[in-house]
Amino acid sequence: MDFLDPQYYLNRECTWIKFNERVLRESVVPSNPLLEQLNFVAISASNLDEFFMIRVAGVKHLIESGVPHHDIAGMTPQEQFSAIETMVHKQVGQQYAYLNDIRDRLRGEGLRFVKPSELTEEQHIWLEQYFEREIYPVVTPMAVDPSHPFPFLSSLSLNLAVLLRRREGDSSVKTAILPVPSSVLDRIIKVPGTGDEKQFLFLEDVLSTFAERFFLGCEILEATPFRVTRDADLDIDDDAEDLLAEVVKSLKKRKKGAAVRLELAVSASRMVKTLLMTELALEERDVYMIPGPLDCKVFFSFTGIEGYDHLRYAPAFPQPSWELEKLHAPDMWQAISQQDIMVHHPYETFETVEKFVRLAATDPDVLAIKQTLYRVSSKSPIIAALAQAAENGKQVTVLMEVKARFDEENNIHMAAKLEKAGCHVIYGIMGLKTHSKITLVVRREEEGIQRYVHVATGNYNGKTARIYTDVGILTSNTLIGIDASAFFNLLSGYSDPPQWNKLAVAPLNLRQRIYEEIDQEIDWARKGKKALIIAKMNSLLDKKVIARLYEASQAGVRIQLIVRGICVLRPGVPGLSEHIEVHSIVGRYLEHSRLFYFYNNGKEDVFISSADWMPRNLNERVELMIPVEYPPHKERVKGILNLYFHDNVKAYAMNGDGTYRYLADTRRGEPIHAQAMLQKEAEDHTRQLKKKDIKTRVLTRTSGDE
Amino acid sequence: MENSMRHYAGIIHIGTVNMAMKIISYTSMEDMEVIENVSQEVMYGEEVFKTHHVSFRSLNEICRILNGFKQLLCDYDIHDVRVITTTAIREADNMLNALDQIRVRTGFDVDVIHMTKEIYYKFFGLYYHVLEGTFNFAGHAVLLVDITSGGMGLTCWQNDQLLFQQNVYLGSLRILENFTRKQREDISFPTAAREFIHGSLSPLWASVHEHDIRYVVLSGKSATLLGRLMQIVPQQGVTLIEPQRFRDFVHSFHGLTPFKLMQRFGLSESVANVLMPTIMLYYELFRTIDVDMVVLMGTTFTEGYSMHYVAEKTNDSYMEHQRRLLLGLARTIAGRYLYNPDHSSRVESYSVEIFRALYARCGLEYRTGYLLQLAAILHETGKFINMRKHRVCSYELIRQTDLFSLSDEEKEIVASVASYINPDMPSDHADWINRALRPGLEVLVAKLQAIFSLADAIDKSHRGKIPSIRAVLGDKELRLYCQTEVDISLERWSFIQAGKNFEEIFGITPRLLKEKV
Repeated sequence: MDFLDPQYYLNRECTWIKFNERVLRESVVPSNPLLEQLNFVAISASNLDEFFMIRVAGVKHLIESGVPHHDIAGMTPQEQFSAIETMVHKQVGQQYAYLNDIRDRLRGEGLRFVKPSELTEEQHIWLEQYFEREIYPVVTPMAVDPSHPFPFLSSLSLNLAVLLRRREGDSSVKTAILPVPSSVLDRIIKVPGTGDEKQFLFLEDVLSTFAERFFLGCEILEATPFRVTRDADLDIDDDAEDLLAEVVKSLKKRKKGAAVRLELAVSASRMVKTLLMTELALEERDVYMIPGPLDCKVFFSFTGIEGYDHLRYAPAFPQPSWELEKLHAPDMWQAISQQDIMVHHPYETFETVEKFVRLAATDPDVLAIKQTLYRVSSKSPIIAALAQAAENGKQVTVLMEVKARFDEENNIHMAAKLEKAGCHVIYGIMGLKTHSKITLVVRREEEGIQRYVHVATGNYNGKTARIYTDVGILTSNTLIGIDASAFFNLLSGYSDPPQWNKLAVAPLNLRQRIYEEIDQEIDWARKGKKALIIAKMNSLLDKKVIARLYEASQAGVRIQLIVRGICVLRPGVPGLSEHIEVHSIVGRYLEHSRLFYFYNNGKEDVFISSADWMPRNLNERVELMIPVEYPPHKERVKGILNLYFHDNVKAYAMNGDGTYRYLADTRRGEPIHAQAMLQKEAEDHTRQLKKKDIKTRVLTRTSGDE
Repeated sequence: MENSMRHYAGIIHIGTVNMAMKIISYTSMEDMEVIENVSQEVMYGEEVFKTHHVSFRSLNEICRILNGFKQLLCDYDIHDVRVITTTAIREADNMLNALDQIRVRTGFDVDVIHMTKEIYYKFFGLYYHVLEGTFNFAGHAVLLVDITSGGMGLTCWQNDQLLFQQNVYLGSLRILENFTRKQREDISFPTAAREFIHGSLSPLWASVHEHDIRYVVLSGKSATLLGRLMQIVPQQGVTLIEPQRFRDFVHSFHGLTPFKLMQRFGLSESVANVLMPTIMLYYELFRTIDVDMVVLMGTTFTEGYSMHYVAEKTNDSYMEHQRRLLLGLARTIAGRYLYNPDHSSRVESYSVEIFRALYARCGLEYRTGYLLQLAAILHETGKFINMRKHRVCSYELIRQTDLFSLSDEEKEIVASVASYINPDMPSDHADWINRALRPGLEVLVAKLQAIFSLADAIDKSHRGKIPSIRAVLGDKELRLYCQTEVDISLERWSFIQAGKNFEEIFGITPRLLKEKV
């Protein structure tokens, strides 16, 4: 059987759209609070924006290039585009159906979106004054005529297409573009003094109402909101001598990429539609008629509205690391020396990691700190700590990946800040993206040099660490420390790759390591022994790895995969993948951790990794995978994987044809909500530790009294 | 040095095929830890071999890597750094210029290591592992074959005794140097290369076959790589291979060019270029000798150098052990020239006694005592060639012999000391002495000569009338006490003569005194 046959694979883009469907579906799950449902609409819209900017743009490139190309499922670019277009049009329709339903229910909660025409006279006066004061001064209309060519509209910007005619004289219809200044003004405007019901207007509606003010002496025939999405993939020349300069140059080009999508309010006339399609060089299939407010990302900020906590999830606070707290060590170094510390975000606070870096920055015995940064939040405490460390005379080396998509400018800015503070900054590696998440601290102690390492599945970003699930491990393991040093030496260009003790590194040997683990299970299965693989990741796309999983299934290995997003493997297909099950979790937190488990005849090989099983991770990125060897952590990771796999509240099970079924719909027995249970577990640990702490203090005080 | 305090050092090697750095922390040799171990393949090796010149492009590469290592040293706050180089820079016609450029651009002063010393350092490290390790050579003769890019060292030992040591200018890149690129790409190249190796090495095999060698130890990166290619896992740092299996593996490379090697094993070009000739050398070796076991040990030059560095810094007893081995080897070499072992032994012991009494006060480093001992052992070897001109012959013999662990400069010192000027001899003999000494070393040589001539005088008759001496250093006197009942007039008169020069050098009057039994 040829496991590489395209018939055994699904198209990547289609599976991604299916993932986004699952995200969107959360906006109609009754157990999600109303504002959280709205949030999921915003998330699905944001996801679609990025999908068009990168993936659809890529497919269109392939079509335009005319190069014969078949994807993993054997589809041509035209076939892919057709499928994408059909599925996304349907999804957008669903999105707005859900949004309209949510808006109706929000109205029941006293939150109402209105049109300017629905305002009272008094409110209208207020609006007019608001317009004159706030909006009018910042908007510049752009005429479109022979002496004013169609203006360049940046990607994702919201605009009004205006048709107008002079009231006197030339009665021909003219065209103009009014940019909606949503980057400088609030897009959702609260109407004041509306009593118990809060009313809101959209900025583009206000602009549309008062459009005439921009075109004196003209009659406005139509003012229709629209939005252009452009190709945003950077074309970086890997042969360029200066990577940083090359990225900066490419960023400028990004703003001017070719249009790939036009979103147009459903009220648009044929004339407006035709004009925009012509000017943007788009076809009918690239146009999405939107029955509601464009750019649903606007609802991200809206869902934080004050006074409506009952419409949001109950607060879930990241807890202190119970492993660390339990040790009662005088400092973190001693704690980590006693045992490895595992932190599971967002259930356990990211502050543990920030504290680790901060401590390293101020400890006089620390000689050097080295870190890879992929996506870092602006105003990051980690950046501040690294800068402080350099100012304190420590050797700080940071590999800042400037090619992190959509974070390029932020990362360049952070890198400049670090360099100014005296850090040694490496701007990435030509030809590869450094996606690993690792920190190395070198400390001189009495017994000699000691290394402390943090390796994680998620970025050093305190903001995402509150909404993404990720696992990190702090360790003083000697061999991991040696490997971590060698890893940074490799990235810094000081050294050739060594023989790794513990780490598996992409693109060097990580793929091979995964093969070895799968092959090992195959061997055990063929010997009639129990063989089991449980793997959790964001996406599964690598053909060679999947082929091996098929082979493993054929050999009798049981394979349980928890894949949040893209999965091109076909599970449960008789004669191919009977022993493979794929689940996907979409919930409050974005599942981001990469955890792998191989039974290995009872020896149990457990890993955490920065890499998904995608070609880009295994071939084109610098990634890390480390073994989890501390037995309690092995058990913990195993427990997490089992919990996720048996989730029947937020989980979907994948069918062989790429569709998914919601497990909650067919649930029998107790509900297992993995994310909620993990949060509860963290809170329970905190409570227990507090109780123990109080008991100890009471006992101490009591014995003191005596 | 306080035993409890940890010390740190960085050792950087500018090699021909790669540049490497080790950062070590130590309190003693037993407690030595390699904290950092980095290595980068370099492209300049073959170019330097071919042109005997370090181009600026090569210098740029070297300095770039050195500056990277420098940053790493800063990461660990290391201030004690040694930068050493071997064949690549050593044989460049613009060596001094290259060293100067490196100093200017990186701040590093580079030590150039002679080939014999290069091979010795590796032996130093490897032998320590042999002594400390669990693998037992069962008292049989062991041959260490150390192939570097520029040469090959054959070192044989048995029962903690060095039997012989020979170095040849036939290393992995050196072999290639003898063929043009076009010749190397020719289908006949493997055969031609093997025959060339055979022709160069065949004179050596007579010495090798004198000993019943049962084990061959192969060391360094090439050996480790071969073990990996054979998919054999080392046990406690040692890989054991049945000789036939190793022979078969080496023979399987028959007809392979470096390019095919690259393809078959996924090696880089520079590694393949080094591995290919190394395998050819192994091929020749295993054609010639029959052993019970092939042992692969991964000890590298940098590791050996680091261990030597720590041993010196901590005055480890292993240094003495090595010294004993090397002195034993020197006696074996002297034995080839039918020297008088008893006389040499006595002169050696007198020299050591006088040196120990003097060195701390007279500006002599402890290590130079070892050179003195070698001079004592080898000083009459020239008599084998020519009795009349035995001093000249001793001088030249010592200079032209590979004395394990000695650099050319150190050999020059030994040769000069061993053929010291006897004030009674006509002064025109002075011409050839000291001519090759680096300016500044004349004083050292003069001091050692003064001690040596005194020691030699005490056994002038070669009859061992004075079994031993006891040296006591006073304010202005060096009293040498001896116990003997026989007439030592000759010795006394010679002593007085030699003493004049001694007094001039040290400002101390030597006296030879009998003490009662």
